[in-house]
Amino acid sequence: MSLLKKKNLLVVNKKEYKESVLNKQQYGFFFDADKCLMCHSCEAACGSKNDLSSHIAFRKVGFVEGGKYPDFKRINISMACNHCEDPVCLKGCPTRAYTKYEEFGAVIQDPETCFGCQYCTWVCPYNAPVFDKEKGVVNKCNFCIDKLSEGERPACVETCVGGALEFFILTDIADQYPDRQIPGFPTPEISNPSIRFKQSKILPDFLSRGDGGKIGYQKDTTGNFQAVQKGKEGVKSSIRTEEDPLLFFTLTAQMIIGSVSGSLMLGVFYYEPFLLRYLLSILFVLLGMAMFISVLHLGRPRFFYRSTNNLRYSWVGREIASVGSVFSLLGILCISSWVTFIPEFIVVSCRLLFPFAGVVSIFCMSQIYQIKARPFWKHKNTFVSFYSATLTIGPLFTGLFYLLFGDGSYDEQVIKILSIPVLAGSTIQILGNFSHLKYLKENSAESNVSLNQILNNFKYEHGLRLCGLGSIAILSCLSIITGSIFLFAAAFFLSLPTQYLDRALFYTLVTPTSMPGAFFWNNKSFEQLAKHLDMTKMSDKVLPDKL
Amino acid sequence: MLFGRWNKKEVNIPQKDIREWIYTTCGYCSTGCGIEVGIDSSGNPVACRGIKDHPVNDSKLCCKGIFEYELFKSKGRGKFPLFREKRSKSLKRVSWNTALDKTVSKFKDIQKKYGRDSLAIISTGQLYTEEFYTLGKLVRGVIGTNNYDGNTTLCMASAVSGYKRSFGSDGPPGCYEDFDKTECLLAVGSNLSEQHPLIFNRLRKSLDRKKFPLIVIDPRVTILARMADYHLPVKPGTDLVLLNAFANLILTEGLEGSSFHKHTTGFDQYKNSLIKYTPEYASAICGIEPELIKKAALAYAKAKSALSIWTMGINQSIHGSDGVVAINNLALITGNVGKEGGSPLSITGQCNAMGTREFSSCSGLPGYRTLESKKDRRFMAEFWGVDESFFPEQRGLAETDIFSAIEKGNIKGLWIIATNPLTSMPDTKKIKKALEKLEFLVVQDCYEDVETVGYSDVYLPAAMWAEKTGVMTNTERRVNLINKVVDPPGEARSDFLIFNKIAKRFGSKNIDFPATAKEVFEEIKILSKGRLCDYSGMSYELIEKAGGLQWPISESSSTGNKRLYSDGIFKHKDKKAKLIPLKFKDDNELTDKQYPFILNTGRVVEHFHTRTKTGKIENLNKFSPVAYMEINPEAALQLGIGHMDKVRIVSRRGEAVVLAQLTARVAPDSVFVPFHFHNIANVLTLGLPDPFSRQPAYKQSAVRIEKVLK
Repeated sequence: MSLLKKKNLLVVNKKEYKESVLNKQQYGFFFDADKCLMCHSCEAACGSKNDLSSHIAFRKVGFVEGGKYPDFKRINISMACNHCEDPVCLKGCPTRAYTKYEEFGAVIQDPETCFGCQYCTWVCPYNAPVFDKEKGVVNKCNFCIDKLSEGERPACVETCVGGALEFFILTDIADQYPDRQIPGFPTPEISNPSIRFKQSKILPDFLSRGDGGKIGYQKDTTGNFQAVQKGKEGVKSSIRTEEDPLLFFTLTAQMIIGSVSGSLMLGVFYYEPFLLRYLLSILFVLLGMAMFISVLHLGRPRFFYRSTNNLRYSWVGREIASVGSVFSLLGILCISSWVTFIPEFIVVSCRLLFPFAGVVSIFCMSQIYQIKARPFWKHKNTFVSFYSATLTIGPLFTGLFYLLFGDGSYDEQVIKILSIPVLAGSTIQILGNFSHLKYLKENSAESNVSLNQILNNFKYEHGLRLCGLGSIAILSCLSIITGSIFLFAAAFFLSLPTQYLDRALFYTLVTPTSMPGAFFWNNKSFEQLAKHLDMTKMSDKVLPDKL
Repeated sequence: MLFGRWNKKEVNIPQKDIREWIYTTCGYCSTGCGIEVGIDSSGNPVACRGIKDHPVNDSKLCCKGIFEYELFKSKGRGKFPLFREKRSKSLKRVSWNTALDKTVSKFKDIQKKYGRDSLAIISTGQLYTEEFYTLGKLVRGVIGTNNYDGNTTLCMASAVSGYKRSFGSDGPPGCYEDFDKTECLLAVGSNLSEQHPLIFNRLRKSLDRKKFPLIVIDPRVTILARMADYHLPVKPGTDLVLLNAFANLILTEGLEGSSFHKHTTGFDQYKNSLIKYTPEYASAICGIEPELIKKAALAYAKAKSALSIWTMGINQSIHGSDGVVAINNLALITGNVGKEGGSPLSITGQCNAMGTREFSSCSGLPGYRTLESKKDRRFMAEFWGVDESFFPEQRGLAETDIFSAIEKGNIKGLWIIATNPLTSMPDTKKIKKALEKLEFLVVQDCYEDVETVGYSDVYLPAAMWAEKTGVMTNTERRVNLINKVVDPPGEARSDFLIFNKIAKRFGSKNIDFPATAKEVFEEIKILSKGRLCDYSGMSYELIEKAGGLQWPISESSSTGNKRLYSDGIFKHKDKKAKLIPLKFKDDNELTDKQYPFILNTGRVVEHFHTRTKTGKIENLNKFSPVAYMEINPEAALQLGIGHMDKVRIVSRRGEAVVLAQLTARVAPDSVFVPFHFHNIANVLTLGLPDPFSRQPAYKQSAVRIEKVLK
């Protein structure tokens, strides 16, 4: 962190600082929850100051409420970026678009550098970075550092009508207001946010969110509020998500790594080396396609090369780098299988390196999803799922290829060998699934919501996934014993939909921590409803154009 | 670059290149915030900011004010006059001459054929005072119809009527400074933090400085109610009983002041009328514990000074005028009129509702003069150069009654100026029928997409806020200046110019219509001299310098008067205020098995009135883009309604589909729907008019809720 911190703040158009106000201390917002009116002035002032289109908001106000009429209580929560002392966005960003400055402790994101991978929107527990679909980049609160450097306060604070928002050097108010939590605000443990709260009114025992979210807040014996799952009835959403390109990419990359490593390590093509060149070529092209699709998934694909700017912190960067090296190794192996001018020692080292690079890249891939703000993913099962996919569909693909194009003399032997990782993979995956369910039950409100969705709204998909994995395990076990072509082929054709289902559930069921929204604005379920009911076609605009 | 970024990076924050800030006053609500509009180097308005040290809002603005500059470029603005020969044809662009010629000749035809009063004019609270005065002169002095009213009947008529009945004249006695000085605040039917955020800011700051009791009477648990020391969740429509019970308690406990006897009449009758209004009696009707009523009443009476405020919760009720009088009575007996920190202060709705009350001649003649007074008629006839007999001797129909008169066929032509009755009047279906029945409808508005235009024969595109110069009066009688910031779009012209042109065509003969707003302002000053609303010490320059001046301000004085009646001299003939006995009769629409819920309507902070303006500012509209209904979770559970389900609200008048918001903010037997949306709330409302003010009761209609099957 030190390196980035030491950068000096230099605001365009504001180069003449009053030295005295360039304070090198951590500033932060102070929010008095007793006072916020939800008058939207802070949001409006921010939008006007930063010239934001209506679909983008750096500061958003939502609420939680509870109690019985007329003893009804509502807390409005106005929240922007908390300029955390441990900014997970900065660490996650592969392009190093984020900088933590010593001046004011500001975390500034540069939309010019951003290539729109949106990983920061995943890791931030407070939904501070927002993705602008129109421009293909993320943007977020800049602390109004241009105003700060002139000795003024941020626009939202200046305009606050209820007197709820203040701006302080954190150490100045730490004693008076040590509170870093109010109901609705995710745990400060994740990123050490530079915010302090005041909330003194007595609240009812249970608070629900204005956006009707599945998380509620229950008062515990100490009087603090804990997020809990609210209500059992879930919403059946589509199993297809915006992350479909990632689904395709991860599954394909894992299959290719499994297939190539399996072929190389188990010596499947020892007797028919000429077959290998076809397999390698097909997989090389496939991996290229998968990488291409995942690049297209970016908001600004033309800046894909910036992905390695932050290898020091970012697992996304590391993943891209390691998959890139897998691709290069595969490329060399592929070419060397067709031509002879590549020196033998290079080919040998590539063969030796490939499985190692594969294992590393799948490790990086899994690490990406170890996000505290997304408890569903933050479990060893993510590793299990990714490695298992590698162990099952990889060797199955190799085997099928061999069965289809080999001369048939070693089929039984190959099947027996290749079925071993498949059996291991599918068995581990079944165990992983159960351990994941147990974890979801125990971990947090968000994970409970996901669990509820698995058991209620996606029970058939979940059941199918387990049946699929069980069948693959049995089929591969039988294949090991019998060496039957049919059983092996059956396992292959079963494994593709099963792994697809597993991965689709992985992306669909994740429940991120989030700030409570309001009834309309900053409410995903209203957005979905408006789109579903074709309200967007009404003459009055229901949703901003670019949302 | 591939391995990272090492160069020092400049932080690029968007800057609006603002060259000039122009002084204006906000054109939304009646708070009257000082706004400066920022103009960039190419002359476009690109920002708004609150004026520093402004006596009203001291540099702060609400979300509507912050984005007010976006109004100039908002879609739907009328750029050209439109006309159609027949209703079956569509409106076509015509020249101003054609539009005005057709308008005037048709007006004349109708008046000739059916009588002078067969033409009705409905104005607004949105124009500048100079424009209101000009319109008043045109209507009273040239056109000569008595069916001329403002949409202020929908928001402030009960307050006006109540003030007139108690004090002998309209004019709110208090001011914003009372929020700083008061030692107790009684808020009745006022959702202050959402309706008037900057007045709320004043109250909040005052409460931050010192603690004083806050009494809130409101059936909804608003933010103000949540802050209250005593929140009295009254059953809708029964506030009069509660206020009478307050008075009863104060008199029983002997907490009334002693000095009020000097300034009031009717005490004995008043006292006798209160006997039956014991806390227990009130409790049975209002649904509030007697003990709570007692505590609240005593807190009010014991305070050294007590400010009472109210908004539509009182005004938009079938006994709205009585409610206002009840509040005035309380203030009178506790000596809280025109006192520092103590007054009955109605919080007005529109930016210049006060201006229309002062000088538009809607319900009388300029400067709080009345048509009923021979002296006033003669004075104005002489001043304008009109024959005295041209004036009617009694006020004509109010807006609510104009539509009934159209239905009956008594009114054939209508001129609607800057108001949108198809969304704002109760019982939309009835209004639609009335508009269809008209022979001739002219709509003058700054937006050509207001619903009413669809029924019009002529559309006149008007300039809007800050596209012209003039003054407006806010809730605390502060007259403030709006400078012209930009030109109106296309051929749109200021309402002032349109009135002048129509006057010329109508043949104004001896009556002089000055060419500029500033000249009109001088005329207003002369007329106001010595009146309660005395403008004579004002000028545009002085107003801008002071951030607005409060009337009365005499020629010799340089600062306005913060309060009225501080000297104990009232405007009734005997110079005394009246204590008026008030009887409660429950004549609201009642709930029954078929229509078991009480429908309450109101506003949200991000929208203004019928959304013609705020619906087009995406940065505001996104906060509530479609209509919704607040319903208590318990009631919703019984009906099987979930959060954000579509529901149908059905009343005896019509039905509307909205999204359900489950919240314990409303009582289990009530629902709340914001009134901003066309074809929603007012399709359902009954809107029985108050007998004194003719203001409709929007807030108590019986409805049932049905789930909409997906």
